[in-house]
Amino acid sequence: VVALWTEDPDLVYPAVLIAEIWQWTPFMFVILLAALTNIDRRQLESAEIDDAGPWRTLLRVVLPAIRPAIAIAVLIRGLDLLRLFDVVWALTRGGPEAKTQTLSVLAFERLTQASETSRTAAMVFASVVAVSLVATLSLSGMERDR
Amino acid sequence: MKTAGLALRYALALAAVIIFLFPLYWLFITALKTQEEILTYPPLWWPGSLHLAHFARLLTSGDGLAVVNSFIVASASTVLAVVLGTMGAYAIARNGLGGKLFAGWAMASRMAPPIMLAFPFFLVFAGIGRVGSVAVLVLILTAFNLPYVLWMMRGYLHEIPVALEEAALVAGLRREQLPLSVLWPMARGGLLATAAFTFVLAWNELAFALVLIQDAAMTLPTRLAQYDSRPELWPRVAALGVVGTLPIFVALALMQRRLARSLSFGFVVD
Repeated sequence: VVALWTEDPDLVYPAVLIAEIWQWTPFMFVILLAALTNIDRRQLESAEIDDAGPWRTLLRVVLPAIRPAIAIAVLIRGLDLLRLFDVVWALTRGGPEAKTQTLSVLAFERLTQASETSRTAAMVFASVVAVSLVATLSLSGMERDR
Repeated sequence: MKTAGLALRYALALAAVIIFLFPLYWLFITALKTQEEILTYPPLWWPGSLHLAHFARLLTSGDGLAVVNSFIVASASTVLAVVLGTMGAYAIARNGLGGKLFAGWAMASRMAPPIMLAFPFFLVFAGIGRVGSVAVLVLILTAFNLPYVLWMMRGYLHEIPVALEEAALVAGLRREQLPLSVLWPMARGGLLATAAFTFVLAWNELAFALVLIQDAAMTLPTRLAQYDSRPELWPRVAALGVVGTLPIFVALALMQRRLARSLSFGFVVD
């Protein structure tokens, strides 16, 4: 008999977490790699001439240079996670015992059961407004940084 | 000392590649295993024989139809979104249509949870009696991917110097000849990358299809999500999953170095 993590209330949350991280880490890698290759070589060279050492170069030159890319990566992934549906739906349907319930899964269940339509719509609307607000603020923050 | 450091670096890089390719590898070999090989413990790290029966069954079950449906939906919505979006992007890149608000609007399409947008769509199409058809899904995915095409193509078209078009006009080309003779050769790479990524988005789309599509018009992701977690279904699900990943490889080949730019919606340029 097979014991599935996705059916064990104690293991289902780690299971979804691991699947998400496993699937999306390479995406973050690609974004950050592109940002790293775009760093001005001369900045790195002058850091070396000034004898900055690897740690200080990382903290003072590399990280500030890729900061916008990190911010974008966090924003895109963060928004994806707020809307998380696919992985949860395929693995657990939000169960067991609603342990992996997300906003999207909850909305989908309520809407397909056609009960409390207005209440669900209100919940959805409120969450979209909240998410939009956070995203708009962080985007305009990034624009100012440039 | 230096070679040892280099060897360590390559070893770490190789380990990371193996870890992140492993799910894909596991998908492929699960599809090739027999029913008994699935459940052995410790697991078989490579299949004993190439067992193709699960792929053969794809053709005779509803799975094959789901693949066809997905292909129609993804292709049609990609062509529509790219054609309409590129024309719009040209207007934005050259005439400044939309202005500063545009950035927020493009991101907004990504912020709203699709599952939640799907329901109002469902009500609308149920009202006119069109729920469950492939055409409805094509229409919605076109609308959903359009802002993305606008956003990406605006960036690519912006990189083409206006002077090039002016020179072509001076050289005697008519204005309606510009798209094919000047813009297409210059923007082709970006256009293909955008189209490839749009195709992937449409190909993978689950939420809209789940709400709006029924039985005969089911797409590949909805079909996949329908299976429960009984072990006897694993090879079938894996075989369908393998078919589902194949177009992704083609799309990746088309995107190549523009991958990071596509994935970050043009915010990170490489």
